[in-house]
Amino acid sequence: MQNVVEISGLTRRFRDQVALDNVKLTVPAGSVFGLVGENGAGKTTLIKHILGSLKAQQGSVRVFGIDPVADPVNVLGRIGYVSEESDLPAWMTVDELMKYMRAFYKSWDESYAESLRRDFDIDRKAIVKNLSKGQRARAGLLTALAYRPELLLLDEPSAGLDPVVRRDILAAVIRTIADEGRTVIFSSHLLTEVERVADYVTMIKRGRIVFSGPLDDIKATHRKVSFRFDAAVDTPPASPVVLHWEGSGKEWTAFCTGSLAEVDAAAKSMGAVIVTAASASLDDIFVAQATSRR
Amino acid sequence: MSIALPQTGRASARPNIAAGILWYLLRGNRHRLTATIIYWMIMTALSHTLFSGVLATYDSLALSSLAIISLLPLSGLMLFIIGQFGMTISFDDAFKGYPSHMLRLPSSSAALAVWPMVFGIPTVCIAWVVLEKTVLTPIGIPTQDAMPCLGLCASLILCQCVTWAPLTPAPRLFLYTAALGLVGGSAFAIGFHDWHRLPFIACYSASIVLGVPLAIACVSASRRGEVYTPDFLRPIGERIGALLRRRPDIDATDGRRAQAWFDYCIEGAPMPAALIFFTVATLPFLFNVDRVSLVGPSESGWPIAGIRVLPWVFVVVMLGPLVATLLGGLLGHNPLPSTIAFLRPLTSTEIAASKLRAALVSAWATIGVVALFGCLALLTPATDGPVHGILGALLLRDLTPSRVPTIILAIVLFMLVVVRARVDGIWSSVLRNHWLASIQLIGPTLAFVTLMIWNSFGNVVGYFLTVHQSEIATAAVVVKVMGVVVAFVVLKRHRLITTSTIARQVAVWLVTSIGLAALTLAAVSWTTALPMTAVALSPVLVPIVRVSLIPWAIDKARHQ
Repeated sequence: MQNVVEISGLTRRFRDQVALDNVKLTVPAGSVFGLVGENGAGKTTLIKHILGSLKAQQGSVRVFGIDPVADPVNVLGRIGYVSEESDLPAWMTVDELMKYMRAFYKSWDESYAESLRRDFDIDRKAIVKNLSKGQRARAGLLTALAYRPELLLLDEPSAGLDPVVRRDILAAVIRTIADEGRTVIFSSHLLTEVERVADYVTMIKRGRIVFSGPLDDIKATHRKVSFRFDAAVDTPPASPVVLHWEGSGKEWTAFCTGSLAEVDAAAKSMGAVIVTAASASLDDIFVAQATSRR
Repeated sequence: MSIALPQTGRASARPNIAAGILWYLLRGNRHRLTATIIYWMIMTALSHTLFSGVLATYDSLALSSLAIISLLPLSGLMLFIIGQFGMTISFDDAFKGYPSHMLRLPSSSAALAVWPMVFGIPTVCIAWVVLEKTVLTPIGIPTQDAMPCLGLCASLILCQCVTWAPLTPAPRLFLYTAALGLVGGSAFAIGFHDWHRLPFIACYSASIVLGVPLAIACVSASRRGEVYTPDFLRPIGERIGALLRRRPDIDATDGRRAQAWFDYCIEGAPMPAALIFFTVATLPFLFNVDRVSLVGPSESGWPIAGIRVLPWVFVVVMLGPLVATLLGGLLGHNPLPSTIAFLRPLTSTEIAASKLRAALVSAWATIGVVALFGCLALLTPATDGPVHGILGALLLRDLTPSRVPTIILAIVLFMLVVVRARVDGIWSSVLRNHWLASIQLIGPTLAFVTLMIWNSFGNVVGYFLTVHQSEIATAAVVVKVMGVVVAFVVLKRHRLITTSTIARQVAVWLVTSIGLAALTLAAVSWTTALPMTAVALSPVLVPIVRVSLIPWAIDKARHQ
């Protein structure tokens, strides 16, 4: 499978703050790629590098095999971008917005744009600033989808929106995947949504990639395990497989990484027995990784 | 026997709503208040020295123009004072009503409404009297104290009523503007005219007397959460809104044209709009017939204060581009418009070209507005001694062939200044630093004016500059030519410009230079032609450097 995005050794600093630290990432064509992380983890910075809005200080970024800074026309012409801050020109009418966007993209599909507008129930004559937050998000989505981009970049598109708008955004992701060979990079805090649609997930923490890979593989290597110790302990012993402990006395629950055999070996070395082991949701994995001190 | 009363701590002290409102007003407006006091101090100092009596005689074009420009913030100052006592911190707040957090305070509606009036009325009166005594009279504008004070108090109370009324923002804006324009404007104007006073006194007094209970009722209604939407005004409001939002149809044939349309809508309109605004706002200044000896008016001609025409033209023509640059900078300070362009599939050179195309349209629109006003002025009936007719015909009668090149040169220089202002506006938006770009425009103007004033007092530097002006102006042009060369080298290195573009820009510069030199030679004597040509070339050269560097700056801003 060909990669749509290839990032290697990407480092970005804003004065003394390291926003991205030696990031290596590949996004295969035709995949839905979920990007998760806490606020300020570096997700938006990473997306801005893919757009070419930020120039790599170290490392390289290639989108469709092209440097987005050196050749913005060929990269931006194939990307649809929707951001958390609805960066649509507030003074335009929806009609003007559609005409304005149409001028830039040869592949703009007027009938598709019109059907999206009708589905999203947006008035052509309405001024963008008078649209509700949800409608503005839908208008942003419309302008990003109407030219059927090869890569759809969604940066926290559903933040602060109601479930109906979120459903529209998810439907847009699904619709984009339905077009063969198209790729979606989807950054979100709403992990249930990411879990629903993503094939691949990458988690960023303080500018570093914590895990990255197919969602099924990630879920297979993370589990919620209940341990019972022989005697009550104040703090369970540290273990390389344990991300996060919860509990008290003899009964403790841990979020673990690694295979079941590795967890079992770790339990023995700690002097504990495994009571139950269950697969963890993406939400559990996120919390465990975010609160882990590693 | 004594009874021990419980100790009262700070928490049980009686709330003082008056002190709270005063603190809110002073604290929220402290920066503007400081700026106001500094402005007043500077104006007081200037009125007693440099501008002393200058608007009574109009002897010096530069000084009287400078004095008029310096006085323009005065109306803003009075607006600020009136707005401030409407419990508004910013202009936007004026249309949001009484501060909602204060409506929840445990005090009566009467206290909330009356205290700002109690503080506001003496402040407005004192401010006017102080300004009149320390600034207006010394500068040569005699006024009368009592009537403007009464009128300003009436407009303060009416504006308070409107600000606190339970209305939606659009009718509030309409009523606020109407109250301020009619009452405040008449109060301001009556200070300079011998109009019949009685109707004004009656209107102002009635506004004050009725305004107090009305304001209390408005605050009370706002506290109950009432919102009155005058539906009958909605169609008018929508029509006005549509008129204000009117803009050219988008040209969506390709991305570059669409982006040029976008840039014009964002940054192109302020310059012609500013020029229209300043022309209309300063027009009454020309028609003050009471105190100035007039050139050309009579029963059959429009009474134009001829003595004021030149300073007025200077002020209007200079302020338009200046304010447009500042406005462009302020708009550019908002990163959104630039970001939208940066995300479109265009090269940085194409984005620059779109911006320049929009700038050119804006410059032509401004020149068109000036031409329109010029035509209207030339068609105005006037008289000159025994001769009557339209002003244009009277001017043509006095126009000798030797003056034609000077007039054409002035028009060309104005066009260059306008274009340059737009180029500066682009830089403001690209750099997102309006101060830097504004200083580039204001700095040389201020330096020029300072030098002129300094020179009028007789000094060594001024004398040296005057004697060696040819060499200095030529050296400045040489430095700028070197700047152009460096700019082209940088652009070539970044592969943002081609040799053919360089050749085209050099050709434009050469043609303009030769044209300007020819015009200058025809307009002025041989002895002053060289420095004049050099000075005239400067505004052409500077845009060329900046225009050339815009793609590079956009590229830098786009890929940070």
